Amino acid sequence: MPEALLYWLSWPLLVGGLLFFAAGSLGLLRFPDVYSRLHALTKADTLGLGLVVAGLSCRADSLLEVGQMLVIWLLVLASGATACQLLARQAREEHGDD
Amino acid sequence: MQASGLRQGCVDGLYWLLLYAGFWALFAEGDGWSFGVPAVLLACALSLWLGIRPWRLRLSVLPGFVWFFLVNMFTGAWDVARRAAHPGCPLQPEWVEYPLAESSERVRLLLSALVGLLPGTLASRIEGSRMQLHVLDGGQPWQATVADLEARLIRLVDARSDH
Repeated sequence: MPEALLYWLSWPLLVGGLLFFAAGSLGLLRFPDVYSRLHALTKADTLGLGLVVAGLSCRADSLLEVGQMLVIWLLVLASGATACQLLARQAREEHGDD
Repeated sequence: MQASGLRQGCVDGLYWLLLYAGFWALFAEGDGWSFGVPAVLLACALSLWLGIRPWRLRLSVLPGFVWFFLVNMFTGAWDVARRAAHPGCPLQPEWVEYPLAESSERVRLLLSALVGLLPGTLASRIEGSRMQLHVLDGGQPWQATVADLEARLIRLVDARSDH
């Protein structure tokens, strides 16, 4: 019974994750400048991956798999947050405030 | 003085060694050490060369911090997704300055990275005691959230882990 429940619980998490990925990409296309696009990509994609990881964790066979995915998410979160800041810094040095 | 520096280097080295070996063991499921050992040693040497000190976190503060961060990350992603999906949503990007509290370099570094996942804010650089922030909507109450994150980071990161 808990397996079936977890299986069904994984669907909204996976779909939610994909929607946030799509929203991040939409922001990348629609937002007016490089900084606003960075907002969209960093925030939406980090949460999107988090939700996908949560959804896949519900279907994982072992705790080891859950641990692997959790650490991958934390590493992507850390690198995403750092890279976003470095890109913003570089863009501002090259192009100014616009 | 030199002896204590060497001892500290050994303790730091051991910390990074265990951490990276743990990562390898987790991802490679305890296999592939012929490639893993050089990779772990290289990562360990890089950390020591860059002079990164091990982290000391106050574990009692950690659950509250994680909850605060997750809630704000969700709010931030929701906010940006809403603005991306509805062209009518207001977008008033502007640059602002945030005065930093007296805190360690490590807290400032963490704050400038993590602030990019909070609703509507993005750090570019820190000059003196001011952080340059890009906000998606100048009308958003971003100051309170950034100040809250800063206060929580100061409580979370143990000052002893700095030099």
